[in-house]
Amino acid sequence: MAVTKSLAIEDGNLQTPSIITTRKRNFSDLDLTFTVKTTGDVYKKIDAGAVKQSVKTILQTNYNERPFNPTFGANLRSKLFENFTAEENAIVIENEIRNVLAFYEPRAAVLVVNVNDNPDRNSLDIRVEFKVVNTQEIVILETSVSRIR
Amino acid sequence: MATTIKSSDLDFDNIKASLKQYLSAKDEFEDYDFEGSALSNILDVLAYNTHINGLVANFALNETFLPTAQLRTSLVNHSLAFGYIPRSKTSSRATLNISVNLQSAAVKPETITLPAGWAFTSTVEGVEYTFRTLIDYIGYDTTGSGIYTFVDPLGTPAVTVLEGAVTVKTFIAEPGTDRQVYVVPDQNLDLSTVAVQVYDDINSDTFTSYFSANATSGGQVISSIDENTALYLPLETYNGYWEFNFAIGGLTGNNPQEGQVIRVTYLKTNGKNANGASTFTPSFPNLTINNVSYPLSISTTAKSAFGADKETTESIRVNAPLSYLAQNRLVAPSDYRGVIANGVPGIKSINAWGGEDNIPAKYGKTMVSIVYEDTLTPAQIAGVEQAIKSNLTDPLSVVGVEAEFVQPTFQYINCSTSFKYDVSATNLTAEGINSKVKNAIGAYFGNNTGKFNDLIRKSRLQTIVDATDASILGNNISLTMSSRFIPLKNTAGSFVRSAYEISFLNSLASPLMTADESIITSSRFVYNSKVCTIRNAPLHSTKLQIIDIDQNVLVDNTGSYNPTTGIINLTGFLPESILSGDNFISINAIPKDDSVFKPLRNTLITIGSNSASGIPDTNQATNTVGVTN
Repeated sequence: MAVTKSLAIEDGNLQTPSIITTRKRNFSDLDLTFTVKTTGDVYKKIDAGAVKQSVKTILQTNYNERPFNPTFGANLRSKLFENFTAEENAIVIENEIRNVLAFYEPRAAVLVVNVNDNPDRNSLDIRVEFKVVNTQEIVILETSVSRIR
Repeated sequence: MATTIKSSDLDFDNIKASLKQYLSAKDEFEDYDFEGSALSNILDVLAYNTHINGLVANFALNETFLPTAQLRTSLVNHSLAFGYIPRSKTSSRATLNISVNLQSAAVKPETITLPAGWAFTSTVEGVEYTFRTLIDYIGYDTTGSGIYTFVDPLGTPAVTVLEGAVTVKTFIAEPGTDRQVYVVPDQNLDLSTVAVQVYDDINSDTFTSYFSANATSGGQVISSIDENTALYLPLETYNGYWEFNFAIGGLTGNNPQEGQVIRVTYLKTNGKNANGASTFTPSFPNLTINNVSYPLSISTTAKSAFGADKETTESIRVNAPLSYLAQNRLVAPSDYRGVIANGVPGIKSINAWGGEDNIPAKYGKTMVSIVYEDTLTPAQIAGVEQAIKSNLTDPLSVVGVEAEFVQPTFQYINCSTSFKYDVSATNLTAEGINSKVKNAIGAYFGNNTGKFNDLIRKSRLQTIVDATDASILGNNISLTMSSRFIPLKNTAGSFVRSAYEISFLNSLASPLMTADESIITSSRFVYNSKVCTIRNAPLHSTKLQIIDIDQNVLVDNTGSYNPTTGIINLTGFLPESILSGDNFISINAIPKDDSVFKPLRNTLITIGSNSASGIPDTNQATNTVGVTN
């Protein structure tokens, strides 16, 4: 004899469960260059490109630039007037970059951070190697910060 | 799932969260909640813009209504709708007695004249100010001694001088279809000193005087207006200057015609900064009569007072509706409060009530009591009251109703505080914490008394004491009342036997059985060469006795008190002297209910004595509770 199991009305929804155990989220963002496509729309940044753009934005943002979020950003340009020594300042800046990315960009697992001075151009060259958490893709970002006036 | 963006939030974070919620329903861009993303940057801009627009809209809406407006210009414009013109900066004024000795003159004139504009200088807190007369004063030799004394238009030997610089602005009425408004770019203009004269042309000596349509700022009461009425309306501009408006096309009064010259003369004043000047030196010390110079003799009758800054925004907020209710007529008591407060500078608080509500009743009168910002002499107060009557209350009040001024009286509240505190929770000494509590109570009285209708609630005081220090665990406050009376003296300066009726604000407690705690006590005075006080007799008696410091009864019945009415009657009271060095005796009384003291009519509450005693907290229990048999 077949057995039919039934649930109470209150528990009826258990019969049609739709349980999602994992969900892959795509990263998609506007391209900050705002380059126009032939369709008239603007380009998008997706996946590793979106994360890379975000990391660059965080590194290039100073404190008090964002409204109502004064401590957002790596605040790197404030370091440009410091006497630079690879032994001390570079390590401090590297640690700050790791901290700020850990806090504001959870999609990027930072692997390596290199900070080198470029005295001829009064700037700092920064190289960040990180892994995109979602895709395990390793991305290298190179940027420099210099005083604009 | 949100499909619309909430736009009612003002907070930046809420606006941004709302935008994020909107984007979460879309799948085109998914990086909206990562702060470093470009999308987050754009959301910041959008949220910031919405935030600012929301704030501006909120501010604008607040400024739209009188009760919520914050900007002075908004309040001034709202008050215009009530027909109310906020008071301008006001000159400080002093009263001088000025005379000239012409005993050496060969020919003694009938009268001499001190011209308008005669300047006097005085220094207040190291700053020199110039006062001047605004009208001609005539001097008479009333005694025939050759000494001429200048008198005011009422014949009183008083010369009023006002602080400020005489300033003249000249305008030419221009042709055109537009209505011409004449702006005086001066925030320090005293509106009550403005004189507007309209000349036919620039070379003319004859003029027509225009009067202000604002009765409470030196103008006249308008009973009717026709095309020949020469009036102007002064209005404060958005930047604090003053503009003078005239009639439109003769419909609401006469307006200056093309080519006519409008001359506005006024005092540019320093306001309240010049209050308190007591010594005046004339810029020209001699008065020339028949080509001979005679020195002026000057004494100060009343030091300078009544200088005031522009009416405050909070005052405008309160007085504009009152003025509208009054309709420039004095009918209800609140009309008197609004009109007098607008018309007279230097008023700290004012109360008015119908004579029928007075004790004793005075029918056909409206009672007015005023507390001034400055300490004024009786002569100054009398002068102000006379000016209020002649300029405001007599012309504006209902026929047959006369204003009568009553001096404010003070109900002194004595505050005795005991409190428990945790010694381990404070670094203060016993004296330190007592002092802190006393100061807190003193500050509460300072902030909550001094104006009519300011009341004191015991529960508020207890809350204040509890909050004074974290170590204070609880308190008990006892509030009693004190009234002061000045015993009468004869012309020789000796006290005379007299009866006194002393009223208290609240009903008094019923008499107690013992003499340990009397309901009525007094400050010390000398009677029969002994230091004495007054108390009510023991054994539930309302009879009042005079006792010495050893509790011996010297007079068994010197009056009585009525607990219900709160009135004390002293009969045949004759002290020899007062011990405190003051000129008054304080009668202290325990009220029936000390939870609230709410003044009536011309009574104000002020603090009398203030004592505080802290007791370290200990367990008062002596037993566990239970029953044994």
